[in-house]
Amino acid sequence: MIRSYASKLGNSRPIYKLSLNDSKSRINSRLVNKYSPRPDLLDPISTLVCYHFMERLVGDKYIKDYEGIEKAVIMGIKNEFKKFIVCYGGFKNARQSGIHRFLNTYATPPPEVVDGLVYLYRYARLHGMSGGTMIGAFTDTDQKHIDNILAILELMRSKFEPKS
Amino acid sequence: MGVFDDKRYDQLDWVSQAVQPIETPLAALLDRLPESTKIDFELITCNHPNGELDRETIISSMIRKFHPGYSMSWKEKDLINECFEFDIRSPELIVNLENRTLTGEVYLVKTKFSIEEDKLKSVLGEHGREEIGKLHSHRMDHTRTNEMLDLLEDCEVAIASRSGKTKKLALNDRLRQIFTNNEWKIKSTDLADKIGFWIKAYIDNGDLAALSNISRLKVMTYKEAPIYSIEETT
Repeated sequence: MIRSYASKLGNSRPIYKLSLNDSKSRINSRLVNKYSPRPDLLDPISTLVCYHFMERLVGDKYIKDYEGIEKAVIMGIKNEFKKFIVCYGGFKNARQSGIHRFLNTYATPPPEVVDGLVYLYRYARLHGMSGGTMIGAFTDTDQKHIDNILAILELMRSKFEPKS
Repeated sequence: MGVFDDKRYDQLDWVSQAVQPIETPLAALLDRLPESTKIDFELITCNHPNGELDRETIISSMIRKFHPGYSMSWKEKDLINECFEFDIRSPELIVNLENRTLTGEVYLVKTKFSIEEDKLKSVLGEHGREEIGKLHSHRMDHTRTNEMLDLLEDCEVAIASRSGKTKKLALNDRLRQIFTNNEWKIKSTDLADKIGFWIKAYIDNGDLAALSNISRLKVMTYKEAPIYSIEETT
């Protein structure tokens, strides 16, 4: 899913402006028109993908680093949810909770978990969750959304948490 | 001519004998390197496709071309590198990888045509010291190492030590001290570099030719005259 978002974005053109350092011992290079993707502000996933946009030079052209983008986006989403659990999970010790530990389990989660987290993130953002510190992210009227998010996270945990 | 005479010194004209300049193959090397090299697209993208390039890359390949097999210490390389600068001779320099072009002109130009005496003093024996740094301190022959330390003088503490590392560091430090203070009055970077190689060869393999060379050099230092060359045993 993240890849399909990223594939719609463009790439930089490999044109560089060169300059000398102060001691004239080295030629430095700067990309002339670095591609900066414009996010669809109404779609939180698009914003996240654009924020973590990465590309690398292969041969004589830039290609998107899909793996890097996906890892960075998922890391960002997991961090948001971890903060969410601390603020709204209602746990005595949120960092020791099952959901928090589940979010820490995978460095690269399986595709089903990735898709689940992405859809859930979109749901959360579209229903009041703001990014950042999470404090005051939800109002009292959003309690049903908070419950939904926690329930889905708990379900994901019970389904995808590796059995030890 | 005796075995302890410096043939190279005797060949110098009276002005050079009075001035006693430091002789170095670096001067000849610098002479052979081109005064100006135009950097084209292929050259500018040889290190990194985005055109980032340092002068060391170009100069090293030129040295490989003009002096194949010539090896230098890092300090000597720096001395040569400092004689060159990049010069952009157009308002803008653009590398386009799409159509593989370099717009604008850039050259690597020689800005210094000789190396100052003070800087040469700082590289005396450096290559040889780098060789001593490669000695395996844990399996070096302590008897031979002590002989070398004794020959260099002022290394009593290292001779008494049972640690190979201490001995190796002492060899290196003492050599640096000798060259910095010009104690042996050596006036050739080539000869100064050989000292480290001889010491390593003797300690590593018990090379008697190396021992003979360094002993002969040591005897020559008692004359307190500048030393440019010795009659080497091979």
